[in-house]
Amino acid sequence: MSADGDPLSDRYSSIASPDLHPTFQSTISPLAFFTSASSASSSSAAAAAASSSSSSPSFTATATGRSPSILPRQSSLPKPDPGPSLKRPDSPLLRKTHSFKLDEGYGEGAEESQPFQDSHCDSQETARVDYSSPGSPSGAAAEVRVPRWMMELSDDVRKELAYKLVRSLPTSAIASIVERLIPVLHLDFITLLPSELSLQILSYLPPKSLLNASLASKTWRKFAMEPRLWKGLYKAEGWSLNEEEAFEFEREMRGESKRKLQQEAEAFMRTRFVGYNNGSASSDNMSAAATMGSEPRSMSSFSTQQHTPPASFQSNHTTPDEEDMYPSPFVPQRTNPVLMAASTADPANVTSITTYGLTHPRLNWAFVFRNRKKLEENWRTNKYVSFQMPDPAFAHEGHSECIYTIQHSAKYLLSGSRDRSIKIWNIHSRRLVKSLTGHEGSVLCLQFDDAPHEDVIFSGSSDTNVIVWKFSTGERLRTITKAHSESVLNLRFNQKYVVTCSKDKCVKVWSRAQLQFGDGEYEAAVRQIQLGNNRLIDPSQLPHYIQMTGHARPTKDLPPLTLIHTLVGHNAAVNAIQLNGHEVVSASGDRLIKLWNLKNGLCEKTYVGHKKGIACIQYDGVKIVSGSSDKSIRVWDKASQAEIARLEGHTGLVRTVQAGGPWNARIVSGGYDETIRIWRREDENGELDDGENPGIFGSLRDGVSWRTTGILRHVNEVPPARAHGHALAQAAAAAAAANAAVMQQQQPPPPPPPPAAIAPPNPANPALNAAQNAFANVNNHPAGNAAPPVPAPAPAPHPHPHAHHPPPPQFNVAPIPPANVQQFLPQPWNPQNHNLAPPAAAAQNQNKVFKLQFDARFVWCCSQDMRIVGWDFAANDQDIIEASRFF
Amino acid sequence: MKLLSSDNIEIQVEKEVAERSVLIKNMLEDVGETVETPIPIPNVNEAVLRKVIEWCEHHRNDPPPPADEDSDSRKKSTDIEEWDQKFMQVDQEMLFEIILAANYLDIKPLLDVGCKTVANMIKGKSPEEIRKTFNIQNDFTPEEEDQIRRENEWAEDR
Repeated sequence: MSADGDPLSDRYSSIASPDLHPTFQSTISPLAFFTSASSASSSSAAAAAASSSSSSPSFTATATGRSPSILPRQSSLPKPDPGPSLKRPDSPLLRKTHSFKLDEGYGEGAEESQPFQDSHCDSQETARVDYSSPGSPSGAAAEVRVPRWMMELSDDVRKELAYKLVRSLPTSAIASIVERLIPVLHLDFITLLPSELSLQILSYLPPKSLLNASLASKTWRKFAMEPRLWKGLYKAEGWSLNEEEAFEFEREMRGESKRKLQQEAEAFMRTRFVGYNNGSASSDNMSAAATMGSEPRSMSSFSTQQHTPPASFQSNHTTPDEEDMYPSPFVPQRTNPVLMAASTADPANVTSITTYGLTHPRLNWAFVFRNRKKLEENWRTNKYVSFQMPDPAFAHEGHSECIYTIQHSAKYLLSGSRDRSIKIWNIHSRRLVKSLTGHEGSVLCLQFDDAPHEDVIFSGSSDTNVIVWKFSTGERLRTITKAHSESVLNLRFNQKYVVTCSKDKCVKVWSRAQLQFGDGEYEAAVRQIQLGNNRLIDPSQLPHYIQMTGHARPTKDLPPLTLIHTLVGHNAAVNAIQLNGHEVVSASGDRLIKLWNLKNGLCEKTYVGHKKGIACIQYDGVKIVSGSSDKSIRVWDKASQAEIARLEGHTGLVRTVQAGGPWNARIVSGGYDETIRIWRREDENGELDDGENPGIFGSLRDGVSWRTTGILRHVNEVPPARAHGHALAQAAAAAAAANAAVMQQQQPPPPPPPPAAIAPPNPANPALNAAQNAFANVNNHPAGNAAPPVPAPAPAPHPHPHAHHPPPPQFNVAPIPPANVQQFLPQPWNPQNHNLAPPAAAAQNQNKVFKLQFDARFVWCCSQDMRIVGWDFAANDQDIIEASRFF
Repeated sequence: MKLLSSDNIEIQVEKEVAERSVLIKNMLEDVGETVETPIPIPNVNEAVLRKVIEWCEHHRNDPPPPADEDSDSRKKSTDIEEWDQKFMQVDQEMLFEIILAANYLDIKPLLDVGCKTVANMIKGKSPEEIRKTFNIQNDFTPEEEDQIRRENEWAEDR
């Protein structure tokens, strides 16, 4: 090492000093002074230091033994005042100064610019110093004391003196000093700080940095894999999160399921105590309790305050603060739990759904995070498996005609069909649970809520009726006959309203509750009677309802499902509605979207832009998404009425659309071109746009665009190939080699089905499948540049023949005649649509998509086919499937 | 009013500045208006206390932080305003003590800045660089380290 005047910092930072680390720990252990949480760590560190380095110099020796070569005989002097900070246990480091200096930061020593003067130091003098163990001066050298007079010099003078002293040493000696100073200048914050502060520091890190930090040491790994950090990162990605499932999982892990009955008895008490989390008792229902309970200490409440958990949680622990993480009677009060856990043998990892805890495993949010990320990748890269309902082995359970509407919950999927029935499916087993009959026409729309407090299905039909069913029993509770004068095309409800829309150009709003005089809706409902709109109550009955002068109260309440409003304004069929609080948006064949206020029944806004009739709509309170016969999807800003995005790519009427996913940056749409398109909102770099930048709601921001990332097909024909033969060939080859998981939906037989052609080992089909696979995997086709169909190049032999199931029996059923389709479609969007199925085209168009739904993992859709088809983006990855219950 | 550091140094400070510390603020509320004797801050030495007061003076007029309910659901930023960045250009020991003092005195914005500063020292670094920065001993066996590296590969792309 040449003595060329390099700043010391340039060198010491690169020198390891393994034998000094424990010394350092022992000297700074008293640092844990603000909270006693570190006391255990310091004592264990001290113990470690003592066992690993019995010859470690004491702090005093470290502080004073820095210049043994020139102060050998002064050691008989009284022990010098080591400086004020040394008197206190709370500042044991080498800061001896009263005055604070900003420029004291490591690597910025003022003396670094000092010209090097002593490079010719006397080798004979330095030879007396034993360098054999540079880190720990032995013998007399360790006894060296800095003389008092020296300690009384000013900081500046001592600094200069020390520097010159150091420079008088050979370079190797300087290096050893530097080594010994590393612990002074480099602190292991994560190990030394109270654990809640360490976690706060790590909470600012992105996943990649956190994983790197997890490789620093075992202690760091314990911190970096802490589930709460990963839960925070998970939420920060904008991913949906099932708090109830997470809570339930933790409870199972805690073994509390054994005491489930007892707990249920205490459930009420627990909701009362939910505020133990952060003192804000704000919830009055179980789901809120679950939400709070699953994360008793959010990142923002890492304060030291003590919480009082409900009695039911105080089973076996002494530290309420740590209860959910480390419920152990053996955790001493205010110790550092993460450090304690760090001593256990098994390091945390991301490959298991559970991670360490002192008494029970905890949900490993790093695992959940990782698998959600994989799932999102699958969405981006079109990796999925498809399936159908009913399961092909139970094909007889299916509808006998096409399906117009579906809706799913966590456990069930409901479908409404042209066969006039509603079927309830178990979403996991894909088996029929129940079939409900009662409508006298096609079931065109339905909505259900299987939550125990609702337990209801509403359905609307081309028979103009609306039926209310009890979900759990299938019992028919009410029928609103002739709810409209024509087909009921769509229907939505919330706790307060049921809203229906119809081909008769009207939107009707019904009260869910019984109405009493004084209720806001009562007067409006009476007005509907006056106008003769209420078919159940004749205007002659009015005297029973209108308040007479002098009467405190009218004589009669209005029953549930009384008509409150008839919203008139559209000039064509109202094809779709959405309900949000007391607002309704309606989409009509008259090309308009209208926003209605249910408090007064008035139309507040109209959205103009679509060139043809509008078939579907979604509304989240801020944005409206609509799909139209003009083949476009448009996104509107509710407040400004501006069109903020237009998604073009479909080649037919857009019949169904849903927006969702992280940051609402995913739209899935389906239509009469028989495709389902997956759209992704991206910024100029092709990254998912999280909408964080203000302006996204106000106008179409520069650089933000919706790109089709995938096309799911429900068709039974060779898909049109892209003009880019090269890309297709590549994709086809890729598909041929693809994972078995990646499978196109199995195909119905070709349109004109001569029975022989559907015999299972159809040599053409595997290639067809692979080609379609390839098509679906080409995820960068720009929207709307479909080339004329050409036969797909035959790829390599199908590698996964088992994936192509034999067609279920009902494949033999003759396809629905196009004429029927036309007749039964709730179709009057606008005149152009009436000729959408000319006979020739109709023969091929067997799978117009009517309705789709998607969630974090699945897309389901129904079409002209009799089966419900789904795509599972977990793509048979068992880890994703295991983690998906928390998505 | 006056504060008394752990090393028995009295420091004059305006009440408004001192009240950036929730601990002191609560103390003053408990004690009442008349504060003549210095308030002892037994856990913070003079150098650190002066540094903390410097921060409080600069931030005396900051609006109260917004209710942070949403912080969990957004990506956490490690952005630090320029003055604070400069303020935090201190040696690790001082940074360490500022963080502890901010925690003890309950000055959340200062604590946040301190923690973000440390986070920025970790961010973007390889495990080896992190070990150097914080003087950490690698206590993984090569096999363990290898396995964790492989496990972590899922985060490598993008």
